[in-house]
Amino acid sequence: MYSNPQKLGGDDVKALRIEAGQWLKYLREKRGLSQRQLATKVGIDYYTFISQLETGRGRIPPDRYEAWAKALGISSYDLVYNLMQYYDPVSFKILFSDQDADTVSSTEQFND
Amino acid sequence: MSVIPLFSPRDLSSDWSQKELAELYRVEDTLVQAGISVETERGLTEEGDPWFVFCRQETGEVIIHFARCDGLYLAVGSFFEGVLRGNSFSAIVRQFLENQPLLLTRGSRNNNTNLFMHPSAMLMALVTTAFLVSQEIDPSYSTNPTSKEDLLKGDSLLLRVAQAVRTSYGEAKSSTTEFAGTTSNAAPAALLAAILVVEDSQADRQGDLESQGKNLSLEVANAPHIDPALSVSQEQQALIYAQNEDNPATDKIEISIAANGFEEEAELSTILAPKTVTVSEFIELAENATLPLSSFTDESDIHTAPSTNYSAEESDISAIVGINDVVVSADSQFIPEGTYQVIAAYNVNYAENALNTYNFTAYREFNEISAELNLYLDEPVEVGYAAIDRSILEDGFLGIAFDSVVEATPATAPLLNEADEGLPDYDVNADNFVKQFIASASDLQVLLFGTYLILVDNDQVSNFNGHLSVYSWDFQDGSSISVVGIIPDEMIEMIA
Repeated sequence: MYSNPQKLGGDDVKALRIEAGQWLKYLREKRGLSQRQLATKVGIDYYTFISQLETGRGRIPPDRYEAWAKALGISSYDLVYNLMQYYDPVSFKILFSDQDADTVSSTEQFND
Repeated sequence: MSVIPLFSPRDLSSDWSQKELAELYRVEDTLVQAGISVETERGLTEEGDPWFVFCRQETGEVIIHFARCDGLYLAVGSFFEGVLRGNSFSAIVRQFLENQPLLLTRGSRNNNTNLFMHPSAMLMALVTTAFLVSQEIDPSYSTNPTSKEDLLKGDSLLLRVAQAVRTSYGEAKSSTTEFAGTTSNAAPAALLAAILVVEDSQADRQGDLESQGKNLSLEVANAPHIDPALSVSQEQQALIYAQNEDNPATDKIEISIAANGFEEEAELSTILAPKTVTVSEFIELAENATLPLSSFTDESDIHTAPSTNYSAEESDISAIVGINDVVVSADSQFIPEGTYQVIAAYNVNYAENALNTYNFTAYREFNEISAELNLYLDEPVEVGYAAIDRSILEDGFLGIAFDSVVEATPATAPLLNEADEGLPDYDVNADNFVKQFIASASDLQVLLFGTYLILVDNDQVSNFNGHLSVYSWDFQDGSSISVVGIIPDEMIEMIA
């Protein structure tokens, strides 16, 4: 089980993780996948983990990003770009604060 | 003997039962009360399968995930590979425990190979292990030990398990055991803590099983920067001194143990190592022999104790002054190569309304010069007693000071032969031996220091009136196991 805690305020982390979970759920349902099907596609042998993630607990292991992107039908870049906002907002801000917002992110679609 | 299932199998695709939730939340409550900052979350999958996670409160990190999926219980933790599955939580925990090499030594009292484990205790141990190990994984906590010395420098961990059980006679029986280790070996410490609880519950297994574990309490504390090798439990004090000055050519350390005002002495024959022991090994042994406190009945007793020489700068000494006790210890680590240093630990207890009763309980002195090893202790004394402020004493507080510090005698012990093979490997015979030792120990104390696991038969040590034996073995991963107690000849034959 992947573990990489972010030392932020508890409420901040929770809120971001919940948002990440909602986004992942949105992508999964948009793809027409059940939780069990998604778990199979990303190589997780306990599909309850999908439910846990969608509730906002835990995070996707980085070594599974590509599998998740493929399963959810988005590019790895988009997946990582958006997940970084939730999982590692500090790094995200440093890396992307000055970047033009010309990246088509699934987050925008989700928020729309 | 069978393992008691924690939860009965339930219908597929339904939420946790109230009993299941009660047990899981009880684990959370116990851990939180023990100062472990965990929180929980639970939910249902879209198919209705329940899951339950324990998280670190400060980061939200999931440390262990429990679920019931397709009729099977499962657990996934950051500290073990893969997914544990079974038809009950007990089965999951047992599966986990069986993969822990240290626990292979564990047999039931009946020498049955089945582990008897109280499910609640085991579940708690599993979650505690998850917490402690995830703490180790967290880079901000990790000490990344690379050696025994580094282990000792790491954050020390005190894990205390207490359980009050009801015997078949209706009497309450309480048991408390402390484990001192580091966060680096938190996993076995947590598991061993649970084992002791199981040991207690065995005595009660004919009684009301529902009551077992209900009174379990677990205390876990991190004590950063305290050398666990120097920590001395107030309840389990040892007065041990090793002396090989008279016989420097001896092929084994002769360790004497004095008790009851130092009147009763006996040799502790040890086969800890074929030739000699390292300082570290001595520490392990010294820390874990257990004797009653030595009591002085009046001041004259104290003054009749011979003085001792020791070299320790006052700045090396730290003292914790409590209402009824003072614990003085040196917080320095091992002696740097080529230098000379003595480490001593004292604990002076003052009992109000008693006639100046002082318990002088722990004293250790050793020095290490390069590869040369010399272990010795003079007669234990009340160092700096004259400096104790009597007025403070009478007010119920104790103070202690050190004076007349002189340099100790240089080491004269034989050179440590680095080519020595060390401890024997832990094999089948050793496993049988340890199992029998555990089964026969009426009051087993399990201690963990660094990668050293020591099993002490407290009853034998407390009622010490003969020869104690210490047997040790190495595991392949570099850890070791030792047993301390009175070993019958027929048991010795097992490993002869």
